[in-house]
Amino acid sequence: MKKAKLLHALLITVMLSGTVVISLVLVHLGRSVFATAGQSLPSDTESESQTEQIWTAQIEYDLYTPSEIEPENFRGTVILGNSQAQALSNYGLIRDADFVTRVGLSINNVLTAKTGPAPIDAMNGKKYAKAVFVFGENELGWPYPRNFITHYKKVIEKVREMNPGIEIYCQAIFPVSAEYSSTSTNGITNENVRLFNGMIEEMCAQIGAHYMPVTEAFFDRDGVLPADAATDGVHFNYDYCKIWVGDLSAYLHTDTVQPELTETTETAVSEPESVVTTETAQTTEEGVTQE
Amino acid sequence: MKKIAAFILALAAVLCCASCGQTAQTDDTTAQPACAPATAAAWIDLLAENLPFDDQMARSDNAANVYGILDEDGYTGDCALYISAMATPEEIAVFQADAALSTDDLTALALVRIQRQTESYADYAPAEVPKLETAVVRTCGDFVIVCVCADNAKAESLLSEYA
Repeated sequence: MKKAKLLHALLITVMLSGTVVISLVLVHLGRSVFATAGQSLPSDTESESQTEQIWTAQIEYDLYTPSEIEPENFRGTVILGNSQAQALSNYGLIRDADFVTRVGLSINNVLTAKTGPAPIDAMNGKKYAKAVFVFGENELGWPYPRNFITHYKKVIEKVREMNPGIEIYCQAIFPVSAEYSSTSTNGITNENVRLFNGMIEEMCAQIGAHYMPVTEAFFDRDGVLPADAATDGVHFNYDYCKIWVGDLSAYLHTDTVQPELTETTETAVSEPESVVTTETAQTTEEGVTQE
Repeated sequence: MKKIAAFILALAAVLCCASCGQTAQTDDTTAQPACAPATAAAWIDLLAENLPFDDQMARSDNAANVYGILDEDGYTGDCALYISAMATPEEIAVFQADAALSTDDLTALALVRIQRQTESYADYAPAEVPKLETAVVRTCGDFVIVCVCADNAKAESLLSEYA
């Protein structure tokens, strides 16, 4: 009888121990699942909002579909430009092109540098079939717009010298948002965008380059950059960059015929009557203005 | 008497078992911080959800290229990038060390990236430079994590929980 009681006690011990072990294993497994997903173990009150955040992140991942863009259109292409062009590289939207881009890069700083190698030096030793230029946004406040075209031509000439027969594509300057344009103190206004684009188009016609106008997606009903395109009214978000890359892909695919040269003289670009600038714009020693 | 002894024996066994389980869990937590993200993408998820940004951000799988890692470097580690639309220098980059690039190598690349960004934004948007000057570069296990956001102190605090 006593032995039976002792056996009974031992049986209870084994059962209780088993229950505790199973509980600990279950807790551990639960933590492992969250650790694998990279998420903190949410409290009851946080779980709903975290689920929503994870879902949002998944949607953002789904937006990344570079296969929609024809990568072969960018092979043998170099893209030179400012922060807008830099964003295309950062997002990894164009894989088959080289980038000579930098935040704040202006056309007058492509061939030279204060220290170290000039941006253009990155093209040394390589041969390209196409060059896409994305300049103008940082130069809109220059007090002498003709300087912009003068520098632009010099850079194109250098690129052609390095790559004989290369096709040149000049992206028109994108509009900025209505709010940015109306409050701008650095010359970046939609009025100046239109003025500079006229000069770029005229230059392209003269030197046999392809002018790439801005497509309708970048204009709202009032003819300015849609408010949802950029937080600051200038730099496109991922979705708009993707639209732009689609536009570039289409241009580079279809615009393969060398445009007819209309004029090749340096003095052909007409000086605009006036450029809207403000007194607060910061003029550099070269007579240019930086945003 | 034997009933009491049996009860004490049973209780001791249960307590011992529970105690062992607790010890094992603590040891496990010490070896690898609880809930530490296991992948670069998971690190990005964690930081993106908890840190503030002034610009619109998006994920990119071009981290290695943006940080100047060349094909010939032979780097094949897990990496991810969460980056701004360029109105600000904000970004989160995560790189896992591999046989080609150690955490020290990756940290050095991160510092070069921050230096270049500082030079660019000093001319372009000087008001953004403080974000770069207080940028956070931390090593958590074999991951190197770079944070440039609207509250780098918060990033530092968050990452210190996992370092």
